[in-house]
Amino acid sequence: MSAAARNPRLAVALGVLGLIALVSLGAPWIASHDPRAAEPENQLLEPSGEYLFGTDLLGRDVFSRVVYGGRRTLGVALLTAGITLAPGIAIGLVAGYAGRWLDWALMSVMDALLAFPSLLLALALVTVFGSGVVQIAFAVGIAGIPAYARVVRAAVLEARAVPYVEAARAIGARPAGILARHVVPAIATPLLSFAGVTLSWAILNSAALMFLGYGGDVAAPDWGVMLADGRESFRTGPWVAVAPGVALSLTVFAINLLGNSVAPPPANR
Amino acid sequence: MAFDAGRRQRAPVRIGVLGALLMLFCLMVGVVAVLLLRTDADDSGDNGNRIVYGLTLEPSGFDPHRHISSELGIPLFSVYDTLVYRHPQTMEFVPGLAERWEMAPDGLSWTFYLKQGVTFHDGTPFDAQAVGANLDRVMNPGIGSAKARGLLGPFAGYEIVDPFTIRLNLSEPYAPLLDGLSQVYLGIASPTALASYSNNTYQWHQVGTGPYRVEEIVPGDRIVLTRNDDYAWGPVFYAPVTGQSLDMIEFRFFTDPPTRSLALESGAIQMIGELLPTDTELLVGNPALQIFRVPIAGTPQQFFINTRRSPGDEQSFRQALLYATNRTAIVDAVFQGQSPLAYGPLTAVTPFYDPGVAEKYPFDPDFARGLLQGIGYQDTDSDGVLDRDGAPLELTMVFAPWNQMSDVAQLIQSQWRDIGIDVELIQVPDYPTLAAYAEEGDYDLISLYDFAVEASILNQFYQSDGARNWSGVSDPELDEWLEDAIRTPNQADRAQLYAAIQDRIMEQALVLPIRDYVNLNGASARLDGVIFGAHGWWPLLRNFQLTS
Amino acid sequence: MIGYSIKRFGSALFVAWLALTLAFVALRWVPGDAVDATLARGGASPGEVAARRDMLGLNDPLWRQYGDYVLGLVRGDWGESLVTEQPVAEIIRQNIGATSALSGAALLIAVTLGVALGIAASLGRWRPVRYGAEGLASLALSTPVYWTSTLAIYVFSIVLGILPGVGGEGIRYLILPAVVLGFHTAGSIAQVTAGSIRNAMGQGFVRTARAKGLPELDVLDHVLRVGMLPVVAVVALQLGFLLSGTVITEIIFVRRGLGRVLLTAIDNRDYPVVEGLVVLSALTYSAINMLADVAYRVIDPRVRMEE
Repeated sequence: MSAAARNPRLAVALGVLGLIALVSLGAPWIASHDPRAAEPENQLLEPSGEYLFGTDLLGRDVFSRVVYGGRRTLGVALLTAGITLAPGIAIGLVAGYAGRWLDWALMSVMDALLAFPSLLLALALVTVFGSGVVQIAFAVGIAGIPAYARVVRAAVLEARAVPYVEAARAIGARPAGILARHVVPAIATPLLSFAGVTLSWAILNSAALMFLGYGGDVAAPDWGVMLADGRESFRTGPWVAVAPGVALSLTVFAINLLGNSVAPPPANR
Repeated sequence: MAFDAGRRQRAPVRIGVLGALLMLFCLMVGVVAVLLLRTDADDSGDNGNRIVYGLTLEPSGFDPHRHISSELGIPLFSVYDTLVYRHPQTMEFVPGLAERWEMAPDGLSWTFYLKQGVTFHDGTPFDAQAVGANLDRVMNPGIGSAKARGLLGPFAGYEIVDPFTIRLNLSEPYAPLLDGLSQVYLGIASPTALASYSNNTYQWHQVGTGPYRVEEIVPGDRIVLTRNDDYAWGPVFYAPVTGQSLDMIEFRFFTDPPTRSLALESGAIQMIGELLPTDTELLVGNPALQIFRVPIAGTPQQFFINTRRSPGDEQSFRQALLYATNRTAIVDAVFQGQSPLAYGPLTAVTPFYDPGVAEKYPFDPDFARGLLQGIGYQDTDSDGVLDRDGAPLELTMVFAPWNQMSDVAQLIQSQWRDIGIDVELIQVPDYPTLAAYAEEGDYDLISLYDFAVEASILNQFYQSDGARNWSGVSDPELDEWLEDAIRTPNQADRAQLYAAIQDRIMEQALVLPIRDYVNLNGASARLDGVIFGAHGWWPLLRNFQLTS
Repeated sequence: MIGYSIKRFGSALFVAWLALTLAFVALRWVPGDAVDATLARGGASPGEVAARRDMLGLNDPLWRQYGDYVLGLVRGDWGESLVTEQPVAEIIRQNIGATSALSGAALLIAVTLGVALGIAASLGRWRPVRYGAEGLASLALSTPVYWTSTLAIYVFSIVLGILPGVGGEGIRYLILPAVVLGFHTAGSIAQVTAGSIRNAMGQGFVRTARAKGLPELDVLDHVLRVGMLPVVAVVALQLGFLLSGTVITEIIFVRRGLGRVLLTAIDNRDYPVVEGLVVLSALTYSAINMLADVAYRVIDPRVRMEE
């Protein structure tokens, strides 16, 4: 029996994410219109057979933009999450396990970064890096590191207090070995569930930066940008924001479900 | 998990984590309930005819002598009087604090005969000394005046002829002087107040002679005005006070555009400007509200075309861009048809606007293609993008996200793609970044616009040494005309010069005008007498009436 | 204990200094300065612009600007705004109350709602409850604050007309923004709570406790004690998120506050105001983390004070 069949959460999560990935990859075949083609005479049309999800203020097909939009949104989000997770885990592990002055120094730097509101830290970084999708991923990703490092460290501290880890330390096992064999498995669950939080946070903050004009190409379809644009016409054409909003929420839901599904299922009575 | 009451009783009595959370929750519910049940004190108080007026941005400073924001004039135009006023309908100059004035034949001095019996809100009497104190303050480099000082042009000092006569001296003739004096930036402040506060702190304690006085200014929060009942020296277009005149006006900052119509509909505010064009249709159908479309004099919402680099350095190319732009489609879609199309460097309501520019560049994509072909552009590799000497026709367009500019730019991008021009859109977040782009010169089109009733606003944009000559034009003849037009006091001569200037600017296609700026104001249907001053942004609060 | 406190206080100051220095460097890196944002925008002549820069000290070498600012701070002088010339301390004093009220209320809602959702998502007895709670948490995480704010105003102050939405003072005006901000902050708290409770449920002590015949409620208490540990860490982290959130909610709900001040200051390149707010934020953050450490020890006796 496969893991997915035994674990319905995992099955749902993988199913939704797979579907989203498939749609994003197959966008040119699925989309019914050019996602960038503005036809102002067709602005804010209600959903119909021709325009499945209606049209936006510039008369573009919302369905096609949603289908294409996943590419940019998810691409940026994955890159961002990668940029956050790798250094975040490394710093958290080292600080939490090594303790003493190294912990103090690393955490001081992390705290100094955390003292900035996260979005503004990203904003400051992107003004330094310049406009563009990759620049946004780096800015948001780096801004996310300190929070993640702190959570990793907290989990490590907890894992370190477990008797068998203390025992392993006491008999002089190598730190790398202890980390790999005992600490990492113990912290995997909270880290994965917070990784879901990080990913959704990455999606939102990169969307905010794109909305503020750091995304470079303002006409590119992107769920976050569509959602932001849709707010200006949310009463005359609510459909403009509904489709990208649902897509975004569904993705985040699936990511979080994935994070949770690797946790042991609730113990039965 | 079994929440079994029977077993619970056997457990030792202790609160536990769940209990603590429950208590936290109850506490919260309790607090919310108390808050919902009690009514706020400010709902019940009777403040007479009181309205809340929404401002749309937070000015970086409130001192009209020092700061620049048009927004500060919305409250302060009614706090101060100016020496002269422009009549909102005729745009002619009418007496303000000066009952009459005359220009010396050589144009180098202006004498103002002041009204008597005028007092500031703090009781200080108004006289020529007071005007002098204000001029001293504006000219003091230490206060860092962003706008007022520039309005005085070649100001070279003043003489107090008698207690109610003051003469302003200029180093050269300056036609726009009266317009400058009619703006809130040169409103006359109480010399006592100016002396009692520092150049900086005065902005929180402003005292003028106008129909409303400043009750309080709380930065980042609100400005409160109350009526000046002693006011009896207003310009001709000020209405007399009635029982329905406003007693108190509170201004708050509604910087987020979609929130403005919500605030108006919910009754949180009775008046606000800069509504979203997409919201107006919705509001027009609401009997509790009314919409005022106020055209603003100055430059239209526009893009400068960079003449300092290829291909913008070729006139035919710039003209092709203008022919290739379907402004009607842009204004209909983005501005919901709520604004007139723009044709030239000045909006149609600006004095000296030359209607001749309107015929110049009709939307004609075929003609645009022909022009481009004429200078060697062809799609040799059939990729849909024109090229010349092997280089594709790619342009960079830089703009800030104000006033739906991103939508405008995307439509232009799509229109120009149809004739084979590839446009890269660069949206910058704020003015400093925009100015940095302008400085570097790394753009083919860049958006900037400003507001003024005086056509001399063109100087900073089109003189070769203009502070914001972002098209990079350098035309000696144009420079000379622009100079002459601000020296010549004769209206007919000025009109002729400005006609020539506008014609030249459009002939050379230095600018791509999109729409005349229109401030979409929304107000409660209970507000009567809503009217704006000649400069468009500033309401004449004196004339507002609140009906019941 | 006293030694520990001194050490914590020292690191708080160190963190504040580090944050300030980072802010100082980042701000000078960003294109444009306060004079560009204000005076030059009005088309002032280059001479006037240069004179203004001189007057504000923006032409001084960077090390001197930095030194002056840090020395000022040490003496308790927070400097004054380059734009409004108001003392930064006064700006903070005028706005801190409103922001504390908003973020405090939001945090209260976030913790209650987040933990409740987390418990429901992990321990809920019916599948619909678990999935519903998870869905709600995901919605909180995936919807931008500006969207829910706009919708909340539309629904509660126009369609239903039961709550004042924007542009007022008084506590009734606090409810909508606090609920919106609290809802979004609750999302990550719910996620972490659910994850760590599931983790705790799988640990040996639950089986042991049950085998000993301990009442389920006491087992649950044990589980929550262990499960709350990472939650405390996340709650402490939420301060940064809350400040970002207050920026947007303060603007949309037309409330005064530090978030709004910060955004305006960044737009205007108003260095002393941004730096002052960063120092304040760093000190607050350190204080909250000290509280979090205490909370750790109260909840979990296994965590010892690190001397």
